[in-house]
Amino acid sequence: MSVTSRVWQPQIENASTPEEIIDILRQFNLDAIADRLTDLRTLVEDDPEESPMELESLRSLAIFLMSEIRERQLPEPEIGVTPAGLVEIAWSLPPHNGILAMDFLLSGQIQYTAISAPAQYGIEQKTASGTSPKDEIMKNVQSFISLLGRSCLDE
Amino acid sequence: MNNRPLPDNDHISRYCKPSHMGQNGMLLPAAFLPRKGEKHLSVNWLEYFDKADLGDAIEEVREVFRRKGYKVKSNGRFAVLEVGAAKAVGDTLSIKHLPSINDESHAGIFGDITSATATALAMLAGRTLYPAI
Repeated sequence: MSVTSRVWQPQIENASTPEEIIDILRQFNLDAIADRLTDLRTLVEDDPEESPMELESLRSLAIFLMSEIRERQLPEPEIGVTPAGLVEIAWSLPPHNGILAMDFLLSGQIQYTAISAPAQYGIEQKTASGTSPKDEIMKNVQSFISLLGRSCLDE
Repeated sequence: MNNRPLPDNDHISRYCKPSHMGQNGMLLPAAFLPRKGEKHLSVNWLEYFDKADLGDAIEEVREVFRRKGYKVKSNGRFAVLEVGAAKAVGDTLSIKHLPSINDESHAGIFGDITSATATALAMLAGRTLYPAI
């Protein structure tokens, strides 16, 4: 199946359960991410203090993974779940363990925070945070994404 | 004493669940986001135990969690932060001692903990992680 034809998009948009969305990711060879999401769902469902993973957050993540991370060949992010049940992804930014994190909101927007490096390394600390639609977020975090070591945004 | 601010040079630990750790061990901001209705983030004050190093103090925290019956997971972590560095992350943050009957070292991070604050705390704390078990 071709990823660039975006045959996955209506499948993800029309999925009615988390399992369906995770299966679609698996169909497109994102097995490690699919396994992680399955594990996370189990972890939060077994924990009475935590909220279940929100379907709309998972849907938004899946579209982002397919359209941005996969198509731009970004490294796979670390994935977790917030106490509110939102899927959260993050990358550690070289060279001094900065961080770029994104939470997938129920509205379909993405809340992001990026910090280039801890201040004590003696270099200027760049930060950015806000909430953006998926289509705009990569522009907003471009200087941080570039630290991941790939020229993914050179289209 | 209840609600006493902790000294800036002291340290706190926070238990980070496996769902708040990435699949490759990265500490995620989710570990520092409050649950709905939560007024502070629960932490433990490590200098309370009067141990020579932080690792020994974390062992005391593990014992506190066992005594409280709080089940930690083997792939969870205790993240350690210096009090002053944690407070510097946000203008509104304060860290106070909140001892309870079965957890004398209990403390809380108070203030406006936004997504950006949680990310900065995770970045700081991600450098000093101890196994939960």
